[in-house]
Amino acid sequence: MGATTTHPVNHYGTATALTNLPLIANDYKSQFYPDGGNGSTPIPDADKLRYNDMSLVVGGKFEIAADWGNGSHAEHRVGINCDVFSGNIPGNRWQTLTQIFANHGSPNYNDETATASHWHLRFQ
Amino acid sequence: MWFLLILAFIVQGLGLQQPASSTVKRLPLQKKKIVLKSPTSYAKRILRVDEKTGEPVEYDPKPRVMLLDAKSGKYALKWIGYDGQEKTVVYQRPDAIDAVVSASVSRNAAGKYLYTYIVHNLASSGEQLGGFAVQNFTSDLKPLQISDVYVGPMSKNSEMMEGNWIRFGIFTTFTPPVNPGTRMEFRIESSAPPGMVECRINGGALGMKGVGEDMPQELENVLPGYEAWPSGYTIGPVDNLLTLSTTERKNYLVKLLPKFKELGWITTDTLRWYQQNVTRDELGEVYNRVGRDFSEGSITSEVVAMIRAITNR
Repeated sequence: MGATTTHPVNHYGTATALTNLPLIANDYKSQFYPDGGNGSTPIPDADKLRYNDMSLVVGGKFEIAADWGNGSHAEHRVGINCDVFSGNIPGNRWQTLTQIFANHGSPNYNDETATASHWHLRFQ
Repeated sequence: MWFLLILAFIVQGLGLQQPASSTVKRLPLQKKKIVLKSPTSYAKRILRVDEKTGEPVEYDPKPRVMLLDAKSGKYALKWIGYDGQEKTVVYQRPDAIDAVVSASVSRNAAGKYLYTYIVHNLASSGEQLGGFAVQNFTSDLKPLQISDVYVGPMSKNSEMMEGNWIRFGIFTTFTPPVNPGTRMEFRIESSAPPGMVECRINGGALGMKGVGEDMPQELENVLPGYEAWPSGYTIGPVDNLLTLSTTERKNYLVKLLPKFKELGWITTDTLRWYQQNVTRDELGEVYNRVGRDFSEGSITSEVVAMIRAITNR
C-alpha cells in the first residue's frame, strides 16, 4: 500500500527485507488465522498486514508528500526499512507481532503506534 | 633460575599448584565487544525546497548516541527533528544480560525426546531475560507453549545461518519477569536425538518507542543486530544422528569431547577417560558410566544426553 501518482513504485527493498516481509506475514497468519480455522477465507483482506513505503526505485529521501518536506518516511532511503500499519491489528496481538518482527530480521524496530499508527521496521 | 625450578618442584610436591576442577561449571553465554558511538559522518536533512531559488534548504540533525546506564545497557539516541526540537529514542542493548543455559533430555511415552532448557539469568545481569533462541537440525520439532510467550521460527541471518532456529520471545506482560538471579524453563519435543547446537538470548525488551519521525539513518546504522545477542552452545535435535554408522557416531563424539571441556561440561580427568574409551570403541562401558559421572558432578546433563543418545543404539 502507499503508492501515489508521484511515487507509483514504493516497495523497493534489499533482499533481506524482501525475504523477511512475507515470512512475517506468514507467521502472523498462522498464529491468528490457522489453516482451516476460518473457512474458505483464511485471513480477511481487512485483517492482513499492510506494508507501506519501503524505498523508492533509486533510493534517496522518501519525501512522501512529493514536496521535499519532512514526511514521516524521510529515512526510507536504502531499502532496509518498511512500515507496518498498526490500525487494523487488535492490540492484544501487538506483542506477538513485534516478537515476529524480531524473529525475521528486524530486532531493532521502532514502535510508532502511538504517534503514527505503525511500526517502523529496519532489516539487519 | 635454579631457585625458581626448585621452588616449582616444592610447590608441586606440596600440591599447591592450581588444581584441576573436580566438578563441572558451565560457561556463561559469550558476548561480542560492541561499542556504540555517535555517527561521525552523516547527511544533512532536507527541510524543504526554497520557492524562490528552487534549492533545497538543509539543516544539521546532529545525531548522537549517549550512554544512559551501562549496567542495564540503555542508550539515548538523540537528534534534531524537522521541527527544530531535540528528539530522543531510548535503545536497549540486548547483551545487558549474563546467563548460563543448561539442557537435559528425557523420552516420553511415544519415544520422542523431550528437551528441557533452563536459562539462568545470573545475578550480575543488568536486565531481565527477553528471549531464548535455539538451533536445531530437524524437520520434526514441537515447542511446548507458554502463556505470554510467543514461540516461532527465525529467519536465517548473518549470525544464525546454519540449520533452523526457533525462538521463545517473552512478552513484557509475562509474570513473574525473569529478573537477574532467576531462571526460566523452555521445552521442545522431537523425534531427533540430541547433538550439539547453538543458542542465543536477548536481554530486556526489543524495539524502541518512536517519537513521530524517523531517526536519521546514520543513527539507526549504529545499532547492532543479532551479533549483539549473547551466544553459546547447548544440545538440540539433530536428524542426521539417526542415520550415522557406529564409527561415525564414535567419531562425532570424539570430535566433541574437547568442546565439552571448553564449555565446562566435563572435568579434565573425566574427559581423559572418555577420550580413551570412546576411541577404543568401548561404547557400552561409556554408556554405563555416564550416570555415575553425572551424579558425581564430573559431567553435565548435556553430556549425559548426548552420550546416551549416541551410544545406546
